[in-house]
Amino acid sequence: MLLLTLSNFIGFGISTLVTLFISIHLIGSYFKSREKTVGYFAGFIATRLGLFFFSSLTSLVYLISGNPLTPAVMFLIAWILTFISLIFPPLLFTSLKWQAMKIIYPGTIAGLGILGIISLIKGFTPAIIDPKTGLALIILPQLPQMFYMLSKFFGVTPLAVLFLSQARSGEKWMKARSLLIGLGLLWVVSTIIIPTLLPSVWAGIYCCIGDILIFTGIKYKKPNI
Amino acid sequence: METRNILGFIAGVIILTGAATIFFKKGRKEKPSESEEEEIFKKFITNF
Repeated sequence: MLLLTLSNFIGFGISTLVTLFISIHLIGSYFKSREKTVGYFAGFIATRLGLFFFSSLTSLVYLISGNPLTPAVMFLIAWILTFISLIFPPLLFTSLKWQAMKIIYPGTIAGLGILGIISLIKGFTPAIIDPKTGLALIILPQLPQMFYMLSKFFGVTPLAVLFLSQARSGEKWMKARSLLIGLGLLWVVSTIIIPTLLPSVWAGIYCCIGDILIFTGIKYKKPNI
Repeated sequence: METRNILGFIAGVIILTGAATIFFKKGRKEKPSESEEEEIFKKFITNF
């Protein structure tokens, strides 16, 4: 469920800006190094940029136009991008570790994503007004919610654990970088449950914190001696 | 969140964890050494 409010526009708007900065940085690094691992990480963040952009636009378009259909289409696009983004962490994980699973693991997450997208399209509804609060909201059907929870949990958690486990070794700046990115990814995983327990207007704000942690990790560089 | 949702999620977690355990065991036999993996990760983290 997404409330079409100003606070969600601001929260997802901050996430859009943060992921834009990370995307620019990572895409630039990919073109310099041509490393597929950096490419997968850049792909993950760039598709997150797309999903946050459409999530913030969902609230903004409703607040400006009051039209219930256009924001629902944008919400649908945001969710399709969510499922696409979740294919990248398994691709990165299997490039860094467990190379033997490079087809089956991303393939399983992609399969869950395809089922999620099909069930999303089948359950599409325009925005409605909550009679209790008078606020507009878009309800996400239960089936895609389930596919989202499973693919996010199994798609991102192993990568977060890998980053956190690498925070024990290497130079100090590498440890700090791994720790911050690992914690950011764990925060991203926690968005499966936590925003549903918070007042709905805080969802956007909560979601942007994980990306801020990842951004801090990426900006944490080797000190110049 | 409805009880049906939570039960579905738990069932999914159990099934996928089972499948992952089988594949992890298979992958462990063919995986590169710890130091090789550390080198791959180090190369990745210094590349951006």
